[in-house]
Amino acid sequence: MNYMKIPQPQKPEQKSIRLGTQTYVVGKDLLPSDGLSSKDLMRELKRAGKKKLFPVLNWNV
Amino acid sequence: MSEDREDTKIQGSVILDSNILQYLNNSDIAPSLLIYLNEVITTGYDLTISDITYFDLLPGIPRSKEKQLSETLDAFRKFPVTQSVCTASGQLCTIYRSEKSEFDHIEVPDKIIAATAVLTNSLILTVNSNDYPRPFFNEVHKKLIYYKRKDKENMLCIYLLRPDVEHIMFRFNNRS
Repeated sequence: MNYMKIPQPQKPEQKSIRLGTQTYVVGKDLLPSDGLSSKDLMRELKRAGKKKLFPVLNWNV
Repeated sequence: MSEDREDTKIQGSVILDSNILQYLNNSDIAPSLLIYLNEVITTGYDLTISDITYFDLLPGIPRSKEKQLSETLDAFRKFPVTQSVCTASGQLCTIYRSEKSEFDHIEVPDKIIAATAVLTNSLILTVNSNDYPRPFFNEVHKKLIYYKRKDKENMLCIYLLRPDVEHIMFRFNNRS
């Protein structure tokens, strides 16, 4: 495994997934909602981190 | 929604585990973590969360921060927790239980995120790979973040994991 680089995104190996009696169509049955652009999202994460918005639950970070 | 856009989402989503967001609070770790998240984006992935992350992060939040936290989570592309996700999570539980008792510690939100990754061809970014156990999830990249705290050297390991869908199907469909 090459740990130096993050692997490129790849198409799903399985177009559908059969688990028991259920069959799921990859990327059709479940899609994400819309959100901010990557650039704006990074800015938002930076801001949230600085304001310590994310609660620390069970471990000491 | 255009077919091209659907195709992009199918190919390249990374679901952030809640613990990744929590580490952004740490001023020693946040700069390196943000650089890594940017690297993930420039490789071609969308950063996403599951709706279950609201359940993970909102408990105990002070009233003064609740609105801001919700707005921050709203900024993400989010996978919904649908009946399919709940069903697939239950099916993952079945495989985990038949495997090892050490998987008993895995919390429901992590199983929801795991099932979402399986159903959407997504990767998972987490600091706790034990919540997404082998051989069902495999490391595709590992990032080490070194930082100093109280004059002591520390290290945080971040894992990018891919579900082994073929193996999950095999184990579930051939269970006793």
